[in-house]
Amino acid sequence: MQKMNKIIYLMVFVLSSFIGSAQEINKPEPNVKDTLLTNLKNNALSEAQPEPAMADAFRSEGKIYVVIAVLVIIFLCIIGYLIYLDVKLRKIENNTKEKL
Amino acid sequence: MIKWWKILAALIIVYTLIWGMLGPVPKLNILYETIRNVYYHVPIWFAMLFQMGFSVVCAVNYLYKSDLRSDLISEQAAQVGLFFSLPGLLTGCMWAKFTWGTWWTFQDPKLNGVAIAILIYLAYFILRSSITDELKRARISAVYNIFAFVMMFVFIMILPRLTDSLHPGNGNNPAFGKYDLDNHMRMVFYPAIIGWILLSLWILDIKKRISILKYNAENE
Repeated sequence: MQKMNKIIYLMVFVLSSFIGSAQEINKPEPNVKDTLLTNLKNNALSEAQPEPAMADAFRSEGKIYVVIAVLVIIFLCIIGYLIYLDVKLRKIENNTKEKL
Repeated sequence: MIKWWKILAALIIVYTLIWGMLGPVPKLNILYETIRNVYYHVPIWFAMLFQMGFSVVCAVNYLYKSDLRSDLISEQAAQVGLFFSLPGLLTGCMWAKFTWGTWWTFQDPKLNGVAIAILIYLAYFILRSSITDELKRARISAVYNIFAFVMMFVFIMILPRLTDSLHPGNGNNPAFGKYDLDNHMRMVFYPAIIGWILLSLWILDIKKRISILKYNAENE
């Protein structure tokens, strides 16, 4: 009976020590440094979010001019094709008018 | 004939290509630099709406004056408008992939509206090809054109503004004008609309001249 009691007391003691250690894990440490950090974080969140990442590096390296050149070249080719069609049509229209 | 407004169209669009890429834009999350797509994607759709409007005006003119030339221009304008919907859709899909995360969605009313409008105008061309008599074809397709334009306007411009939508300017979303407080974007955007409409008129001019020549050649 006493041995049983001893085992029971031992188990209760060990288990309660676990509970005690769990409490320590959950509790945040009241540090001066921590409170400063949380205050700064709250300030940052209440103000504007961080600047959206734009392509400034791309632009500063001058690569944007390559993009623009490509787009303008493609577009001028399309315009050139339209001008070619326009001139060809004008010739055909003039020919049919001469026939009349 | 090389007219002044054709050269103006080319110059304006080259200006929007250059300054649209270099000019300042508002810095927004999710969009980042893709906000510049508004200089190309939106004016292309404006050009399509303009061409469809031109087409319906010519259709009404045909019903009023029975001039087959109006019917011819009406058909060509509808073709140009439908052609412009292709780059509009493709640029929209590209933009959606990088901002909404998907190429297409059936949840957005504007995308559904655009799909329906394209199907309506495809039906217009099928209707035209199903009638052989010239005058009958012109009359019936002119009437259908009027309905098609009204339906397109409702599906693209009106219905998306009444319900939830991801599109800017529709469904409780602010349009880009709200972010462009210093008018930097408007300096490129408004000329771009004019430039692309003029370009669509140039393409219409060429198509009109080709179809008139074809018509004259067939009916000699």
